[in-house]
Amino acid sequence: MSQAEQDKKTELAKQYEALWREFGPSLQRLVFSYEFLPQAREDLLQEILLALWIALPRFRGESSLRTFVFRIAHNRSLTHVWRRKRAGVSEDPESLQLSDKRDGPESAVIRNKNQERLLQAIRELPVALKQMMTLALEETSHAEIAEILGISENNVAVRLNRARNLLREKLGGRQ
Amino acid sequence: MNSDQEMKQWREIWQVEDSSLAPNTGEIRNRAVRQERSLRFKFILEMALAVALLVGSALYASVRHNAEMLLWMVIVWILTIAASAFSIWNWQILWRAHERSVSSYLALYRNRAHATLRAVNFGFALLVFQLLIVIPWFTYDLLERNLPRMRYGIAMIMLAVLSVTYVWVFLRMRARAFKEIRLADAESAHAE
Repeated sequence: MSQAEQDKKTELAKQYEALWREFGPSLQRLVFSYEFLPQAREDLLQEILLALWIALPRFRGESSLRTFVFRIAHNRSLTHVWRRKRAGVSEDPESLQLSDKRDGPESAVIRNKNQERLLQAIRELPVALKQMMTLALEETSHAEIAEILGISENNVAVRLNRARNLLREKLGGRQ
Repeated sequence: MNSDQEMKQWREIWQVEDSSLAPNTGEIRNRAVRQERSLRFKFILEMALAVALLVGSALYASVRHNAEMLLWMVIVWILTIAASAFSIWNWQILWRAHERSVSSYLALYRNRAHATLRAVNFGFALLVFQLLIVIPWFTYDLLERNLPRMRYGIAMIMLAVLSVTYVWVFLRMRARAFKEIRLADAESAHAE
């Protein structure tokens, strides 16, 4: 490998580390909103990180890094959810909860009761509304959400309102 | 509570950080590199197999120089080139697709499923076409050119096994494509 290639790889690795430092916590929360089972979460996070690693050399700054990262993360999650549905994996929250408590090394991760309730309610949202809500909770602007999801800003407002109402309803049912 | 306060409260709950979630970034990068390498290796293997098929069939046809072998070589070349072209296209689009917006990704996903359905229909037609050529050809050889019955029987059994396998693969592909279209449609419906 030439020195230039080596330097490029080192630079890429640095960018990747910086990306993880900046977006790691958001990506972990995102993964939690899609998957309850620890193993499935880990798999999804790996898939997202792999997709980011492959895509990073092509990032030219046409959009913000945040938009770039969230697009990849949500698209990858969508594929993950579809694959799970195609395989007919159970989405029954009761069984998932049981599995999580028994199997997961990360079972102690969700310590905060309120966080657990919120995560469970978000997990139950339809994917389109889940994406909307998680992006909003990450304080992503309407313009960025529109860019990530490929919809108009007006549509973002409408969909966010719908997601909020549904989430409120689900949280209400849990109190 | 107004909706801004409600959102603020949800954000505070949502953004609680837990250090126990933080994985080793170096290890993640290394795993990503390993996975990428393994995917590239699989892709290179596929391409190597395609080249072997092209070269092998050309060599075989040149050794047994007759019209039948030439026709067989042409069919192998067409199918191999088509499969390889699809593989290259799929490889390129597979990863780039993630950089698109979610709605565009959804549309692409649906288009790919429709493309699979078209490919399956084409495959069925090609299979019927090949059977319509091969069966009368062998039967003609049996009746007019004294093809041994044993060889004719073996050829027919092989043909039947291959046909059933292809039909099974096509049906699975079709069922999967329909399921993907339904999933994509359901997501779009939720989004509306």
